[in-house]
Amino acid sequence: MRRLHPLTLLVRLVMSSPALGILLLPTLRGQPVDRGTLVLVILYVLVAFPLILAHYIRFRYALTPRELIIESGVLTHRRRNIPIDRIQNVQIERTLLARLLGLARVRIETAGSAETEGEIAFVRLAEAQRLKEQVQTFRRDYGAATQTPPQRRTLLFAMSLGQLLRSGAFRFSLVYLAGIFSGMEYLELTPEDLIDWVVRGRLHWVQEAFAQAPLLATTATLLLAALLGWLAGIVIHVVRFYDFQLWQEGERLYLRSGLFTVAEHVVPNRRIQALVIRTNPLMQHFGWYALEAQLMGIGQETQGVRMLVPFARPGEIQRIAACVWPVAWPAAWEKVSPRMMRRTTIRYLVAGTVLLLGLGWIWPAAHWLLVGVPLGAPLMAWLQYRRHGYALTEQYLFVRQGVFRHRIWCLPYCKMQVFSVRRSLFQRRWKLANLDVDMAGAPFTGTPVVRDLPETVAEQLLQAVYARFQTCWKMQAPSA
Amino acid sequence: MESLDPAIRIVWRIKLLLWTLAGTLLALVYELTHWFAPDRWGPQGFWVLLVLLLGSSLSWWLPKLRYRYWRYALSPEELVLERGVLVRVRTIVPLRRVQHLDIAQDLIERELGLARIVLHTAGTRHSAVVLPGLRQEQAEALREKVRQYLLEDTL
Repeated sequence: MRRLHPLTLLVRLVMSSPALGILLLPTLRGQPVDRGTLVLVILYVLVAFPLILAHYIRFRYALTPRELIIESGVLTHRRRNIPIDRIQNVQIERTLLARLLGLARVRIETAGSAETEGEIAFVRLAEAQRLKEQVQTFRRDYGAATQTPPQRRTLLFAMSLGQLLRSGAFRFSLVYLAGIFSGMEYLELTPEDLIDWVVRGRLHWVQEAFAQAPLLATTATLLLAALLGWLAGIVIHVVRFYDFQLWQEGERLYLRSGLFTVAEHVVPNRRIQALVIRTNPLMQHFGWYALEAQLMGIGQETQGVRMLVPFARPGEIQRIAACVWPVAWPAAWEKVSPRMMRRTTIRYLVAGTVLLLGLGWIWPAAHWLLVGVPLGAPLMAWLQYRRHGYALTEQYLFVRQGVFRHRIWCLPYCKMQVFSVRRSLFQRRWKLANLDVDMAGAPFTGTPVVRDLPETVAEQLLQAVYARFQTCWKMQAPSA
Repeated sequence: MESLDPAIRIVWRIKLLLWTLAGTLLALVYELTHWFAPDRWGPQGFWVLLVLLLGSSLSWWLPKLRYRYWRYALSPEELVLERGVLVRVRTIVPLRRVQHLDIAQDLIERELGLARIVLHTAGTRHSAVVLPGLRQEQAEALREKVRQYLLEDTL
């Protein structure tokens, strides 16, 4: 049995330090150490450090020609035997700290249940590569008869730095900004203090001008926030997708990207449940799109939506999508009932009014924004209606929806799970219905739903989709 | 399409009454702690009565309505469910998509000899489809039928 690299202790210690930082926060802010904090810190040191050490001592692994054995657990000892032929993939992941120390984390993905997935963190990079290669050789030996010879890798997509920056520029997000602000709130750092500290008494006239004109100050703050949000979006995008590469090897896709943490992912084709093309109005205006795959997995790690192409022209997206499935993207879309506009208008009216009244409670000036609601609601409803549609083809159901986050789903009939038609109280009065096809690996928000179809059409669509689902199974049955 | 066992109404009623009881207790705590407070909302005893009235009328009506709209049908390849008082939902669960299924019973259901079947699929939002209000032997028979289709390959 082998052990982890001793430097793992250091990495884990550093990784656990944010928790200590939170405990020590009042002290870091200059408050005197009180007894409670001291006790907590001592408790933390008494518990966390021995835990890290114990974890290191108890963790062992071994690779035999038949299986990979991982022993771990501090309080409950666990021994995992992962049969070589069940291992789907060995991933090597390197965080920034691990890269500095020459270490790597090895992740083992299997085709079994979640219990057989494993992680070895951390070992020397050479050891990680040895593990990966050994598993591959053993697997080849193991299933020499059944396994096809190793296939050639072809590069499907890569992003240059210029394109990456351009791509990031389109990902405007206030989420990161909100994160920064709440962090500042937590550290009791006000924006004014920060500006005072940066400016240091110069540029005083600007601050005075702002103090005298609240409207100017508000506008400037909003602009600054937008700018910061935009920059934050670019930075996060670059960190995530730096040196993005997508490879194809036989029935698998390989993804690799990251600035500090280079993450490598393998996506077996058969785990892909749906393809999603997404864009926003600005990206669409300049003709840029992104392609995502919805994956079925066993654990939380492997399930969910994986970006296949972060930023490309539609032609390129279609070419790459065609490498996964032979998809012919629809040229014409079926529209849903125009009554959707009425329903959506009412929805936006109610939601907008409630939201603004709530906001007005805190900030009375927001009441003026209520004037915009009767204009904005029908406009949004009209846009929603225009951007919503579906299309049926021989093998796929296509659904598109969303204004600011526009998405086009390609849903194969063979991968559908549960079918439902739902009609709310208001929909029933207008004889409308939603068709909802549940797929595996979908995120909890933003699933494809064909909204507000006329009742009869919804029923027909359900029958059509379900019939195709059944034929798909009948065609598969002889081979299975 | 078949209806559920009529006894399910009693189960639902008891559960709603238990919720009502919990709500009433909360209201009672408020009433007792604010009995003499000058800034209390509403007259004395108002909230307890309100919760009690609303809860008991809901406990009377809702199970009836729910029962009226609950239907299910098992055909050779799929289970079809129809339900919902405000939002009517019609769901088709293809039996081949069922990964595993449980028969579950809580205390009240067991008293009345009822059970519910929970079908687990790989889907996300409807990954657990529940069919309540079956007689225990009925549920077991249904399980045997569904079991023939349980798929081997989940992907």
